[in-house]
Amino acid sequence: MEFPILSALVLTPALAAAVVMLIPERRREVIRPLGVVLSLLPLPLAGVLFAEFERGEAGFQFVERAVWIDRLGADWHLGVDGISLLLVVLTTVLVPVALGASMRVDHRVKLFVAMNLLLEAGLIGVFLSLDLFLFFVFFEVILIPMAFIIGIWGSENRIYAAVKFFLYTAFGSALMLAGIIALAFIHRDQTGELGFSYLGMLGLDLGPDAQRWLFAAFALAFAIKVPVFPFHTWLPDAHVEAPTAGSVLLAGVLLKLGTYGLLRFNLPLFPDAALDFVPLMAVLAVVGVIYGAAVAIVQPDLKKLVAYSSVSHLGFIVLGTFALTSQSLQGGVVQMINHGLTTGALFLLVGMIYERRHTKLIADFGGLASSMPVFAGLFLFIAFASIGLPGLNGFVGEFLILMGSYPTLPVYTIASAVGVILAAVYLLWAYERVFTGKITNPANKGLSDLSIGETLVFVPLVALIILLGVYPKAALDVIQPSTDAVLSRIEAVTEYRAPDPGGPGFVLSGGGG
Amino acid sequence: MELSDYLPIAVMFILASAFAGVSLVVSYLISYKRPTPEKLEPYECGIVTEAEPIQRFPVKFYLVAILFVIFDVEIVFLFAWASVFGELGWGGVAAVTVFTLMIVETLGYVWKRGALDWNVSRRARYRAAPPAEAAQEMAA
Amino acid sequence: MIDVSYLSAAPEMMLVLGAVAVLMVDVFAKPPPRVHGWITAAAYLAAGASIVLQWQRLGAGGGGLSFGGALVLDPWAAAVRAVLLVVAVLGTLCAWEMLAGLGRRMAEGVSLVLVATAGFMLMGASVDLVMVFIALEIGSIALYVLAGIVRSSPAGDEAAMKYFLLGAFASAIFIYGGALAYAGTGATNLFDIERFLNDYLVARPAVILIGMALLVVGMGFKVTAAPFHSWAPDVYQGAPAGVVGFMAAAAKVGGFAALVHILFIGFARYQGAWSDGLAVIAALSVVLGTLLAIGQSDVRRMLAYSGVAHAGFLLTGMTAGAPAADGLLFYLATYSVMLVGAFAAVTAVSGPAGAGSSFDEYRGLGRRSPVAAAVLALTMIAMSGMPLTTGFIGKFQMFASAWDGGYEWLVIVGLAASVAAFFFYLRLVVLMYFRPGEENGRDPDAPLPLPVTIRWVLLFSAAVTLVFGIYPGPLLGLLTRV
Repeated sequence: MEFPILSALVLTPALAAAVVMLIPERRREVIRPLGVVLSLLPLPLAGVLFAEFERGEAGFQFVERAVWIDRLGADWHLGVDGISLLLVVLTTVLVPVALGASMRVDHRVKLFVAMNLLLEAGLIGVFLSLDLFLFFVFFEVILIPMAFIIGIWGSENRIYAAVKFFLYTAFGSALMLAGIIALAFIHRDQTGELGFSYLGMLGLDLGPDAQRWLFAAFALAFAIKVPVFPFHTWLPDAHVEAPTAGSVLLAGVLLKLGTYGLLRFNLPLFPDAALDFVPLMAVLAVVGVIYGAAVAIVQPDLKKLVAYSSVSHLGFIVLGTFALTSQSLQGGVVQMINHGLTTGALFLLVGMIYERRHTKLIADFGGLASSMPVFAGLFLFIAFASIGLPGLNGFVGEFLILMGSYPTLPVYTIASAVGVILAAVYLLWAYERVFTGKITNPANKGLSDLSIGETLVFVPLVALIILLGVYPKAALDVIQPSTDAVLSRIEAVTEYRAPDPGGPGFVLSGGGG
Repeated sequence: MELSDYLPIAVMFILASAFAGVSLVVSYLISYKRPTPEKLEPYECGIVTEAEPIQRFPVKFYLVAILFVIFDVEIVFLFAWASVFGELGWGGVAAVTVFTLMIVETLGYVWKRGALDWNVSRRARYRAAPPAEAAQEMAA
Repeated sequence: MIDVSYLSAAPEMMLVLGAVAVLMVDVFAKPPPRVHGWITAAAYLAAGASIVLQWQRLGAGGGGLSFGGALVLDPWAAAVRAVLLVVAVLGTLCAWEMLAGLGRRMAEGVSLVLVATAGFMLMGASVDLVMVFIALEIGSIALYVLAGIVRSSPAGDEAAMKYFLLGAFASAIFIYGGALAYAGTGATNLFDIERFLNDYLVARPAVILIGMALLVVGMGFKVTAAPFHSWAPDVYQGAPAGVVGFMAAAAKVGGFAALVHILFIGFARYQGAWSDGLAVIAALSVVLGTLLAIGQSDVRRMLAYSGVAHAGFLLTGMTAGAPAADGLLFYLATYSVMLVGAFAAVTAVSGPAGAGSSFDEYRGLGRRSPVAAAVLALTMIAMSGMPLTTGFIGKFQMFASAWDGGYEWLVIVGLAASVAAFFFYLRLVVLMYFRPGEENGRDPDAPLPLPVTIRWVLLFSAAVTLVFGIYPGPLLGLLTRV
């Protein structure tokens, strides 16, 4: 039997959390570095996974399956494909980064590290699950560590934010659970046994009405998670109150659960309904793009600005997902990774300046470039990546989404392109107000620049940002077969035909620069 | 059973009712009536009521009454057993013996706990009890 | 000669013998508390051994009716006994400190716990309405006394009084239901009732249906289903902390154990009717329990109302009828362990004999007693139905059963209520972990004393909740595996 690498990926962080809990709380100086080391353990596994992954294959690889709860028909069923592979890698990169940036957490250190590791286990589990029951378990379980991270180590209004975050997402997933139960019984009626297998669900014959209801149940859960426009109100609160590590993982990975779910479940499982819902989802996506950007512009609080920029960026991803072309879907997946890297980095930066000045208000800063040149340089670099400067990762994703969406959703695409311009406005304007000019506030004088440790945290992020910008083929080779499989699944079941099926080569020549 | 078998009972019932009814009606008709307030009192016994009686009884009466009810009702079950004595055989005897032993056990417990002692003062009983309970109950 | 299989009542006999032994040893030898502990442990061991023997008998194809058809030995009866035995052991450990503080009345307390357990076990084994009633009274009366056993507590007196009055009322309703059922079918034995309903087409079943409804209402009181729940908050709040977990869990298990036999065997023919009725009660319980729990300022009242909601979830699954029995057993077993665990933590906080437990006392508990807080948080999370705990698996099965039975609306109601329930379950977690303890003028670092008995209960209940939450296999399908 082969080494169960996917199980190892899920279980390593969970076991690491247990190990951490065994150390006495007073040995903080041990717990903090040990946490980082332990959180690094899944990274080589993910690296092996990435290296061994068979390019050009659309299906699931490294599949593991074992009976879990016999009577309910739930299995421990894991597998990875082009859509989930990079998200798993992203998770394994971001968790050590988040922990590495949290050396200043000073109370309940043990619990903090353990919660982050549990979160990592849950996140990896969500991306790898091929069994809807298992997926739901992971999807729901990550709420607890995240709520704890916000609620214990957050800032003043943390409890309100933690509870709001928890209730919003729990509400969404409750309806999804009803959908999963319904699917399991349809599975039983059609195949003779109760089961939650994703692959089995793909083979079900669902009527149009059932599809619409199920699509709505799943989409609501994911839309709240993304968050798509009217469901986004939990996000600014959660982000602003969360500690740095929480913000990084929330923006970097948690939000992707929503877009991942839409792509993984809503499109292939309910293709007819998906086509019906395209106009609605596209409208919400575009509203999110523009609304998020517009609100970000007027934010006086740096962290809120980054939070609203997430709403805007994720709107792009949703647009790409529901534009249903080869490039737009690829762009959506790439943008999930990009957003994880750049927004994660932005939250790290905001967290570091907050540790120094204990304020996040843009008006309190000014002229920081002179006292903190490294910090300012990094911020500008990340901002460029986020805006989509060619040569950096953001450009690839946005370009693919806009190119891919234009043929099927021209009006929405043009409207959302405004969001690209607004992104430049809010980030660069924020940079100008925070970093350029003379220091007017005496408190900003003599701030220490980033330490070596703090700078090291950014190395993997910056490296990946450049790599994805210069050589996106590394990612697209993995993604394309799986996203194309989603499309061909829709085409096989419905009347829909995606335009321009052979696009990526053309786009790459434009995007690789 | 025939319906006619109930005839004696019916006759008995009618006679009893008639006797009671006739007595009441006749005494109402032929008696002299000189009502006074005292005579109209319920449970009139000739002496004018001066005050309401004190409504409290020593709690011991309740305890004894309850114990009596428990033992009395338990004995009732023996009648049920006696009516099917032959059918149950030795198994029934064994079961009723166990049942009776449990009543005896209850009696023993009640006795040893002092529930049957009438004239022992509360204070004396606490002296016999371990200090924890005494302190607790004195506080209450 | 009446067929008597002593094995089918052996666990109850062992417990009653234990209770008698405790009382007799107490009056004749005046022993220290630990002797009562040994006797109780021996009684539990003997009861456990009898349950194992019952399982073996069942596995060998034995079982069936005995005691003139009053008792049955079937997988359900044996399984319910096992659950109740666990509840009783945990409950006794949890209450031990309170019981030991009773002084010379300790023996009474201990024997009441044993007798109550025997009564509720008997409820799960009774298939004759008269026997169900007797078992119900054996268990309930013991609980009424337990609620008021600490004489110095006025709240306990009030709790005992309310529990007694409403309990007696419920028993009367139940026995009236039994009488009507007898009037309609000519039998009190559930199997006879079943046979009657199968053999005869009842032209005007109103009397039987009303009887059935009254039986359900009577049991509804015992399992705290809305709208028959009004006694629960006061009793849970006022009774001595140590026994509340046992009282709540044992009554609920016993009530559902009897209800399953009554409805699934006796009135199986009328499933169409009682399913709808149960669905209405379930929806009411889930919604009312959840909404009322949100506003509580006392942890015990909150747990009482949450118990109402949980009764609703159990009834949700019951609507599906016999196929749900297995899920019901899982839910009852895991929920009662959670409940006892939660009340063990409450006991640690409010003292063994204390009444009331305001939310404020739990501020910063995560620091004062990491074990109690962690287990309480875990049980809250489990009760809310988060995955990887037994609460999720249990609820999932209830919802799946109801969905399969065609009560989709009930599932949606239950799911919505589950989300709303996060408000109050999380509130406790928030207080324990997210808020510092200084705010209520307490030393935030003053450790909370945790008696070793309570520590065991906490650890056991946490272990069960987690282990069977992650891998429920061994606890699922027990009923069919025999």
